[in-house]
Amino acid sequence: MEKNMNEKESLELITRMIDNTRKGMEKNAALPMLIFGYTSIVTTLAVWFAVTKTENYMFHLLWIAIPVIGWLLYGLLGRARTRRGGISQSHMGSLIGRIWIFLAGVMMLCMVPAFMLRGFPASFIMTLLAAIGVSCTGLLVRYAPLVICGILGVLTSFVLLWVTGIASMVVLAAAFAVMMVLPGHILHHAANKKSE
Amino acid sequence: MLNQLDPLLHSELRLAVMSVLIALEEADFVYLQEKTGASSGNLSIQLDKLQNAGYIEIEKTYKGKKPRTVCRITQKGVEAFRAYVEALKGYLDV
Repeated sequence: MEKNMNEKESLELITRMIDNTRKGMEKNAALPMLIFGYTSIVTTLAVWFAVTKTENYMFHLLWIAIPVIGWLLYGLLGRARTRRGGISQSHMGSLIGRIWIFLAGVMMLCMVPAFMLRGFPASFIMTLLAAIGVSCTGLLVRYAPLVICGILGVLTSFVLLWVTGIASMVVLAAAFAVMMVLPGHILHHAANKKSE
Repeated sequence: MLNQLDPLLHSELRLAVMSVLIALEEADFVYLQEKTGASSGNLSIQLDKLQNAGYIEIEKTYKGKKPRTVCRITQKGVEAFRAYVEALKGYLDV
């Protein structure tokens, strides 16, 4: 069934549909930040707690939980969401996705010297890379809270050049909270407010 | 002299589909149905019309064992949409 509209209705429809699509994109963008943010905080605190209590540095292998649990949760929650609302991919979303895949690859690569070289500033480099990713995402989508939280992450990463050893885990957890969880909640709250 | 509105786009459901696709790289059938609130049958018919006009391309794939229909706007579709919006602005004097 085709329904023709007048010119004003057409323009209103275009505006409404584009707005609705953007709102959906904002809500989708918050999900990976919250999942990976909380997974990173829990993993960091788990490593800190385990190493502090046992002094067994093998517990650093727990870091692998961030990509494994993160992707698992993202896959499960994402699948439940797409089953209801279908799948879409924005141009910006795929560009940001490629940037994060590249950054995640570099972070994984940094794990190798972190285990082999004593004094390698892994926490600093990883936090700096993640903070650059958050800032770039904010600049691309032109969302100020993301840019600001990314810059705060960059500044926090430099603290990790002085705070080293197991104590750096606490700073790292704080950095994940500022860089990912905080902007994730701001984004989610903003998207919910717009849909009301 | 006002430009004539593209009759293919001057229909509620087809315009809704094009407005969603213009903001995205691709969207599947379920997503378009959820965004437009259209029935499966009606949406299929309108997607076919847009595809026949060369405004969108449709790819039939599988996600696991489930069939999936993915839609993307073409360059011709982008140009037609832009021309339509420009014509609308002319009519509304905005």
